[in-house]
Amino acid sequence: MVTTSRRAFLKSIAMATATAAAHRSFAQDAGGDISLPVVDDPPAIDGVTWDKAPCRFCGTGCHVQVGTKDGKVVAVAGDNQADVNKGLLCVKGYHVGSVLYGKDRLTQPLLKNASGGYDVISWDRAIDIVADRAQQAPDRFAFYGSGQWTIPEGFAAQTFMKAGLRCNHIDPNARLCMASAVTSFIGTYGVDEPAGCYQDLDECDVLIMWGNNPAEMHPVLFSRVIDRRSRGEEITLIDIGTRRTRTTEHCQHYLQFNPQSDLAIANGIAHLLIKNDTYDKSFVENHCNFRKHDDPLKPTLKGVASTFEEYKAFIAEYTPERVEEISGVPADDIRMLGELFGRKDIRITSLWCMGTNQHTQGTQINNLIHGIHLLSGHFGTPGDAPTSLTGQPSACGTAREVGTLAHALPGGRLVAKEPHRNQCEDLWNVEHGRINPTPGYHTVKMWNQFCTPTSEGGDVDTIWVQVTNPGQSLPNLHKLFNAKKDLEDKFLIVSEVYPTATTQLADLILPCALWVEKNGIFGNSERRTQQWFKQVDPPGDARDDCWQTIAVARRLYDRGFAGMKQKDGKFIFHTEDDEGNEVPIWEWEHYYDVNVDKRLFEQYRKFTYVKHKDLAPYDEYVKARGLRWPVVEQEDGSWRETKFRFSGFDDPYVGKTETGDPKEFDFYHSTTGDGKAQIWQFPYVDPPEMPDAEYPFWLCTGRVLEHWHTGTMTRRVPQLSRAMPRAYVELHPDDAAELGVGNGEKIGVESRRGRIDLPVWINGRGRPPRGSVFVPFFDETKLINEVTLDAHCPISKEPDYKKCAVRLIRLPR
Amino acid sequence: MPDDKTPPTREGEPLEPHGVPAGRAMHIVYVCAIAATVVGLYFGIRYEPDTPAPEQSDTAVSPHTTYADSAGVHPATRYADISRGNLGPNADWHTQLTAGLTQEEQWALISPASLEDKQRDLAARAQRRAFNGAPPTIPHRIDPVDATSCVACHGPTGMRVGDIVARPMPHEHYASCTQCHVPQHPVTPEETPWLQNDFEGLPAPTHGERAWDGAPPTIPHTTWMRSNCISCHGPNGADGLQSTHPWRTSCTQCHAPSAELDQQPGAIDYEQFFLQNELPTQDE
Amino acid sequence: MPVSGLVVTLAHPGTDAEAAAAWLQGHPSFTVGEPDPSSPRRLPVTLDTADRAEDKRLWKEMQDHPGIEFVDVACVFFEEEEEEALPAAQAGQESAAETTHTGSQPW
Repeated sequence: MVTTSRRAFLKSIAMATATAAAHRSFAQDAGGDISLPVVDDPPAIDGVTWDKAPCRFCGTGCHVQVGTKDGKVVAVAGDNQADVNKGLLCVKGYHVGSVLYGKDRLTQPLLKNASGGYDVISWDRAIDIVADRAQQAPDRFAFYGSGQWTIPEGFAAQTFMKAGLRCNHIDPNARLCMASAVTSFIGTYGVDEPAGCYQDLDECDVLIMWGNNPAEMHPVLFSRVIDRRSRGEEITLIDIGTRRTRTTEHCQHYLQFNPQSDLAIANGIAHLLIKNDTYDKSFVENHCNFRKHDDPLKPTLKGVASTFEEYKAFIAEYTPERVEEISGVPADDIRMLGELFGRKDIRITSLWCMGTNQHTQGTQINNLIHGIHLLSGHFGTPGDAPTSLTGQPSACGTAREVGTLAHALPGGRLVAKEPHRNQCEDLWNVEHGRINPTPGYHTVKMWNQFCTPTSEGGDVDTIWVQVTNPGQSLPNLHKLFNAKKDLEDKFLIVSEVYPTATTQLADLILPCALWVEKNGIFGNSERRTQQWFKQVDPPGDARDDCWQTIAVARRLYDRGFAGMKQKDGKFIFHTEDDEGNEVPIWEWEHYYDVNVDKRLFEQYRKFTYVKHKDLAPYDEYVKARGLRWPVVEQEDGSWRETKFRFSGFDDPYVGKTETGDPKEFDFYHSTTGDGKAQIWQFPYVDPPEMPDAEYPFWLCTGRVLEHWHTGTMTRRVPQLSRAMPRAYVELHPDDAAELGVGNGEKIGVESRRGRIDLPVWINGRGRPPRGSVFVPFFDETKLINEVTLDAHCPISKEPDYKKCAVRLIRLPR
Repeated sequence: MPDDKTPPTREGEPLEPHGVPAGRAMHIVYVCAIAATVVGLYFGIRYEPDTPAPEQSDTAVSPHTTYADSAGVHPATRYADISRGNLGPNADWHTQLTAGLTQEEQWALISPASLEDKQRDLAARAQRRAFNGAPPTIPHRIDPVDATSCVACHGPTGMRVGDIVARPMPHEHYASCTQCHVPQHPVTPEETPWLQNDFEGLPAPTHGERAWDGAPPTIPHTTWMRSNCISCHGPNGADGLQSTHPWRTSCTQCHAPSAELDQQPGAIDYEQFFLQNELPTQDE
Repeated sequence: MPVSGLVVTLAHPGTDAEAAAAWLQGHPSFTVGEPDPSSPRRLPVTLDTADRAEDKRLWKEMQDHPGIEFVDVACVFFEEEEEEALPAAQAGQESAAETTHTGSQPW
């Protein structure tokens, strides 16, 4: 029987819908913004339930809708309500659901046995083993994570190491990709992360890509720009690169430069701005200071103060002709760039990622690009922005903001500063003096110490790896990873979802939950913090990384380990339910009794105010498709995100003028304390290794569209791996002819550090110039990082994967 | 929902037969007779349409092909071969002997697809998709760098050359085609350790819901990225998916899309509406 | 017992539009809502009928009624029938909320 009241209800809904439709149609004729009705909590169609999540892959931070049915992910769609991607995804994003279902998922804890095989062990035993290693030598225990740690996972690891073990040897793989961007943001603005946001891509007239191939690496953002052309907008794209890529095909200008000479190009632009007197005098006078390194060969993060006159004298030598000599870019093209930056009637956005970050002068080239934007005043209004992209989904949110770095504390604080340590100790509720004042080992150093025999000073004897694959992604692998094989007393713990190059040397393997198999929060490239809920169960005995960290902490606490106690004796991850009873979240059966993510996030949120990276309460992120910090509470109780930091029209933290209006710009974390940004000077210097008679080719490495980083996830997706099955070496046709090799033929690529053999791809997807080759690093059967160099930026410690010298060896047929 | 036992009608058309102008009837009978004969001949010699192209299989991919087949080398097709049309993945397309007819004459020939046709074409469609809603993979070679040539064939009207059909893209134009669509070249110069995957994608829906027999069915899939219905349901669509009434072009007038599948933001908050209208409770 | 939300587009004033509106307002199965003042020809209407046959009949009658130009379906709810009068294939569509309107999608 259908009751009368129910029919009345249905009729009222029918009338509401009809009324909306009748009214809406008119609005549509008038060009209004239309949307059809939707039920807030819609019924599942075909038994499929949909929920939001950020994509698991890159730092763009697209939102997807995840379709689940019978406990499995069955479909993925672009999220129409997401501002980042507006319903669009890339081929990886569309197939992100498949990454959960590779046949070889790790489902049980595994311990290496005497014969080199693995025994299945219980979680209880596994947690005991990790706790043993941490307890017996906490100062020799290291934690190596990544920008794929969710914010709560990173915060738990950070708490475990810095407050718990009193050991600062925690670093993320972001050291290998974002460190130079970080040091440069701090050196220039006094605080990390971009001022602008993706809206700059919608509004710029000129987009300059510095050693960047967003058509493959950040496809959704690249589409956001080039689709403007389909709508009839005019936009000038300029590719400053060392090889032609898919991006180049969409650009009006391609400026091919000799590796490392981006330093000279940036200086050449600055030279022209000053010589032509087209720099923005008012912006420079009101908002900028000048800074330099005491000794350019030994640059430091701080540097020393300089003047405009000194800058002018320094930049004088970078004439277009001189820049052409260094870079190989025609002087006229340098003039074209100089003139563009000199114009006030256009908006210019620069885009960069690994090309400038993975650079032995990574901090410097980042600084120089910020510098020309500041000098020309192309800063701080929509479309005028120096924009640094990230490669990992939470490189910003976790590695940089939670500060899971050897020298950092949460919220932009530093280990070396006592007030910062004290603030963190208070927030963690531990006694002052708990945090070790000496920064720990950065990535390259950490792995070097791990791979050095104890007898020779190798003072790291255990590394716990979570959510990353250093056995493939570290540079100079023989030295920094493979050497572990022969060191009996070193112990490698790997929390993973699949067998990888890293698990090959693991002593203990812990199976993990992946992506929507757990709750999570990521922070993307535009300061956007994005939350999702667990939607399916992990397979077998796989468990959350965050739970693993908490379980080990609890095991140490139960053994009386002092560091795992708060100052009142409570467990360092003490968690209560709504009634105030402690929840034993270290027991897996109880881990989801409360939302541990929410509890950790609310604790972490209190760390974020000092650097004005304010986050909203967890529940606000549940409602939103991410919010860009600082997120500030309004008088009406709502929360407002910030799109343009340091700009008076948008950033609530910009100071006021005497009349009480917001200043136009205010760099309120300025290192000089006067609200000004720093314009740095830095000369072109040669890279540490260049082609010579013995090793005559440049080697550049990088990613491809279909695979994400080391391919552990994407290589298990048939649609992706069949599109791009194996690694290759891109070679210029003339070099191939000289070497006498044809397309598909294998050659050896050898450096002073190692060699691998790869098939040649001539006129392929990327087209390097003569004397230069490119190899992607996704293929674990072709580890190009056995060939690369571990030389790194002196400030950021980020290695240079983009240039080293190799020779090519023709194999006998 | 149509009864599973009765063959489903093509989308949206009542079961009544279409009127054919009386003066054309003989003409059409004549064309049908010839068409049937010649199609029969063609079917006899053409590539078996129901056999999935081996490269589409998710598992057990054989790498035993030479590298020259991939890697950006484009073997040219001879003009003489085009009309024969057995060009791999498109081989299951039918020769259109009716191409010379006027549009009205072609329309008059349309009959509802059989269940077998529909199932066959849905299966063929599924082979190129990880799940319903995934961007299809590219069943042919492409230029590894410049994807702008995609529009030459997949533009607003699509293209048909002999047996080769290029469907028009079903969504608005995005400039970076290879962002979402990737070719599948399982040919590598050496054996590739293909990693297996157990992902079971959401299958495509087989039909929309009908309010009553003969009512237009709803659209059972999202219209996001599939706003151009003609791409799949138009004259160049697969037999089993074609509309019986291509002359009607305002599809959503009769066929309702799903607000949920299309992720429409809440124009009406039902809960709020419920409160505003102070509906009677069950007790009243 | 279907309940539908419809948008009825009336002919231009001065024709049979007024008569059609009066017919809708007077008919016990229809409830007429408030049109948008800027588009008074588009009436939101609900149609509440005892069974599907009746629904179909009235639907057709509306279509053919002088003064009514179009009828667009905004949503339809199919409630469980009191008796199993319908073939199984037609039952089981609890609140199949659907929407349609003329013209192209807004995106």
